[in-house]
Amino acid sequence: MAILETENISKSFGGVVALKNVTLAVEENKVTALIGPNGAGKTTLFNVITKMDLADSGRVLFDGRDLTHLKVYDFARLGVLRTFQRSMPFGEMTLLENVLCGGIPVSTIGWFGGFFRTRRTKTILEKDRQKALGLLQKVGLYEKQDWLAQNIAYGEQRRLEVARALACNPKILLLDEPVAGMNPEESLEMAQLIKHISEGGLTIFVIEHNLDVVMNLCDMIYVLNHGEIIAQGEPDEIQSNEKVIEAYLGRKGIWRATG
Amino acid sequence: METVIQQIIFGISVGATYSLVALGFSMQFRAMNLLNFAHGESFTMGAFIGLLCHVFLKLPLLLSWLITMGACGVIGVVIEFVAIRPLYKAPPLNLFICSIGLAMVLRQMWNILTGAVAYKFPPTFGEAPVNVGGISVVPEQLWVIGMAVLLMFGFEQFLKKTRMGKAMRAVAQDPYTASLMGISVLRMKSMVYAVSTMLGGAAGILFAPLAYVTFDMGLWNGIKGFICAIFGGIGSIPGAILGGFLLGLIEQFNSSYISSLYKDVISFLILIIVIAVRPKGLMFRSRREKV
Amino acid sequence: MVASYRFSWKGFAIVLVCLVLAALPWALNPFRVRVFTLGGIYAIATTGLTLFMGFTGQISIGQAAFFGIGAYTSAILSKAGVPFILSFLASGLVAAFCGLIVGFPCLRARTFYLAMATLAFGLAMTLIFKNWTGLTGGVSGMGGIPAAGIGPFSFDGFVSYYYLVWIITATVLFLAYRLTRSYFGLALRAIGENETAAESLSVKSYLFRLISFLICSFLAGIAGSLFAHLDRVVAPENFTSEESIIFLSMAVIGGLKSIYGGLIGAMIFTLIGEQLRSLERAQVIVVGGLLIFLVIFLPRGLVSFPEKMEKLISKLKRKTSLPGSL
Repeated sequence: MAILETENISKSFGGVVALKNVTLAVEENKVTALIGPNGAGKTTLFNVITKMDLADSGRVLFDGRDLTHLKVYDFARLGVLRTFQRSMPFGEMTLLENVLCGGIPVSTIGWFGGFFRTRRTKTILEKDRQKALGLLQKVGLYEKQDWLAQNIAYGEQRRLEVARALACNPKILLLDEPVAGMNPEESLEMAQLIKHISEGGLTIFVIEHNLDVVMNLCDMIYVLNHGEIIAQGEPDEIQSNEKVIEAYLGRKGIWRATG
Repeated sequence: METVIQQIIFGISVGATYSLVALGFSMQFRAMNLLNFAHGESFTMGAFIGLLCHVFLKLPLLLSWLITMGACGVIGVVIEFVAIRPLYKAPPLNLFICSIGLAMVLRQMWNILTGAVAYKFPPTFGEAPVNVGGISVVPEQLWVIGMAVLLMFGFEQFLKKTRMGKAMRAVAQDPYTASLMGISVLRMKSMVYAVSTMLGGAAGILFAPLAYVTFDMGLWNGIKGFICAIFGGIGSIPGAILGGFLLGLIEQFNSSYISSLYKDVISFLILIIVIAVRPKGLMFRSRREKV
Repeated sequence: MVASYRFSWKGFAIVLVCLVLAALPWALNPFRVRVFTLGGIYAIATTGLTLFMGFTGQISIGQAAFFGIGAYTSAILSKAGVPFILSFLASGLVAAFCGLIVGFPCLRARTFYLAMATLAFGLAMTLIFKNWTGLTGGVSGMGGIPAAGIGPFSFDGFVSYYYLVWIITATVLFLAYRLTRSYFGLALRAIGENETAAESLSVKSYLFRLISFLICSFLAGIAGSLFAHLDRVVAPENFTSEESIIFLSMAVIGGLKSIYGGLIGAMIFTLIGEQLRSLERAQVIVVGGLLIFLVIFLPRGLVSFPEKMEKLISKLKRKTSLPGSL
């Protein structure tokens, strides 16, 4: 069952075609990857899906719903959460506060909830707090809950963002290069984290360069090159797909030769 | 008909000075990512230093111009070093606040030095209007338009043809790569600030004969320069120039046909409308911010 | 929502300050009482600014204009016989409405646009205050504003007005504090930190910025109303751009990131206000220079002074206790 679908998405910047008739479907409860060489248009696709950029044509469907008229800030409430290629924590807030922000879309007490401290709001706030702490625990940042987000390591910041995204009970997570800029150790930790949360029934759509991570993690892979989908399928199929090899390496055969 | 043409010329001449200020704003924005509150004060600076040289020291006009330009450049370098440079690494809010403080200090300095007196700057070619094609025209205004156009042209050539100009453009587009190419980004920023202060100063000394020279002229003229700068999309040079001429014209018609007293209220409304209609300016071409 | 460590110290300090403020009018002469009353009034407007600027990272250079709009509104209504409570609230609402006019187009765009627009707005309002003689009394302003009164009780004495103002100030501060502890406050901070990330978390940044700007101008408006009923005279010279910059300075100097910053900045300014006024024209230079100095060396304002001192001391300690290592 496809929970997220794009239909013929096209986008150009001036004369440069960034996306051309991109049609794909992300299956529920599975991990789907979008790979491709640099400049293929992967982040642009994410931007178009989440309305940070507007497509020239085509449409996006989530849970069968047409997303054409939505704005950037509507997505979280739908359950579509996205992380970014660059780390984007709320620097001057503590880790706990960062994750609490993630709870904003699903908060049951509304904007002015904490305003007046009734017994009801106090219990809800405490519950929210416990939930946030639980998420920090899940990503291994529980001990640093009072640290300022700008003071933790880069890899930790990216895990924080995952925790923050999880705080709003998302149905699908769009992760844009989650291990970008990480060393092998951190990448492994992140990959394990992603595997862990996907097993809980969350759909994951991930953009990634690191083929090791992708091959081990994903159920389905789409390959994007020059804005077009050139291949799709399971990891084994993709590994031996000639077009994919050519896109990444530019020359046929070299991968075959090296096995 | 005659009055209309006279008004047009006057409007354009004032607008030309706004354009020069706007160019300075745009330059600072593109090369230094700085939106500078104190830029309007370079306008005042130019007018007063020019006044000092030409009226009080009785120096010839050309010499006064040179001294004014030089002084503005030097002062620009000093200001950048003292008040702007320490904040390059800080959040942009701090820089704005600093430029606000700077503007206050500079303006009050002029207030104290000169008192709340309006000074008169003698016109370049005498008071008598000249007959051009049957229309009586004030030569000063033509001079202002001519000089402003010359300065803008010279500035464009400077950016395109000279080494320093190209270095500035490099820093404006991509400071990191520019530094890899051996360009000292800090020095360029300092130069940018100096040059834009000089442009503002030129605007001031050009404007001086058109109206009175007062200590607070930088305030509204700075705002108007800003309006022009955003007209074409902040950072756009043709927009700044066009905006200047347009604003000068609009103001002139306002003042004659609507109300001279509430002229500034109308300028405020214009500002709001320009911001509302296209904060990216009316001539903006899409420039994505990478996510 | 998030516990802060030094709660006991803060709580103690707050209680102490409240006690001192409550006892003040009995210990000082009427002139000094007026100074403190004025401080309370400014604190309301400054807290509005702190809320707006500190949380959203934008700048308003028009606070004095909204302050003036509130003052004139209250003056005009009170003189027309409208009861104080209504003219008080009306001042806030009219000022907020003007804030809507300015903020609506500008808050969509970069910070600088609002800064410029509020400056231009302030200058335009000064013109209107000075020239719309029929409504505002022109350059000489309006006098003969009746005393504030609630029901049968009239606050026409120094002491009674002092208490009225400070009760309102304390209420405003309390509400502002509660606001920062709510999800609304959290969302505001998120926008100030990283707008893109905040929007991906369903926060409509434009709306929030607009609402906080409306709150800011509302507070300026009600402060203006209190100002009008203080000396019972209003004149355009109290609401110029210079005054806006002073509000800005009070907020910055007090500290934008803390809810008490507004109070601290306002009190310091009013208390040394007399000294400042004697400097006359140099006063603005001192304030401007102070702004520049503070922004460079103490960017979080005076509120951060204790932690800055702590950092400095620990730095010094490290330097002196480990000679020759590292």
